[in-house]
Amino acid sequence: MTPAASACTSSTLACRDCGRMIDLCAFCERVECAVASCHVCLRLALGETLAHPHAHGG
Amino acid sequence: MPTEGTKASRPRAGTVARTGVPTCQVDDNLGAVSQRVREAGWNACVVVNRERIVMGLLRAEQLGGDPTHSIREAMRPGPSTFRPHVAITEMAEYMGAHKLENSPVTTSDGRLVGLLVREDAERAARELESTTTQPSSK
Ligand SMILES: [Zn+2]
Ligand SMILES: [Zn+2]
Repeated sequence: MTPAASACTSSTLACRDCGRMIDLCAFCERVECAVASCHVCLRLALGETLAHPHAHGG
Repeated sequence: MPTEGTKASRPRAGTVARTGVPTCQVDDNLGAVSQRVREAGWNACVVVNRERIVMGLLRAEQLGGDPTHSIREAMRPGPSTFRPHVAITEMAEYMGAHKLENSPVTTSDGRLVGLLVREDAERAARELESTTTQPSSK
């Protein structure tokens, strides 16, 4: 409802549950997701999820 | 409507996930992997290391990429993965809402259990619903 100040941000996606700005939906990893969720809310909803923030080859 | 039913028979992400999902390693060649995956009747492949820790995921979009690329170049690194104990009804609901075709299921240390396919999850959830909606007015 309260439009967040759209100043200089690369992320325009907000978590549907908590409103936090996110780069990608934590569930489907898409930038365009109508029901986007952040990692925190997803974790609360589904228990634990594991995303590897850095998948270094070695 | 969450129903506290018989917990023993309640399917979860780990029991519905397909354990025979094709896998490959980061140094493999995309062209060869794509062909193998297609021949096996799949449209996804999980990238793992030698310990079967999930490193990335190739969905149809990535599998259709430049066949000369390595898997390392083509894969989506660090995909969201889910634990085996997550209730299948929740997963089916989320996968439907997010239009996600498949999702890797891993143990807490990142080891691949299988790939949960949306249609499997939705079917299992429907079956579960039909068995738990029997009228049980105390
Ligand atoms: Zn959130
Ligand atoms: Zn999403």
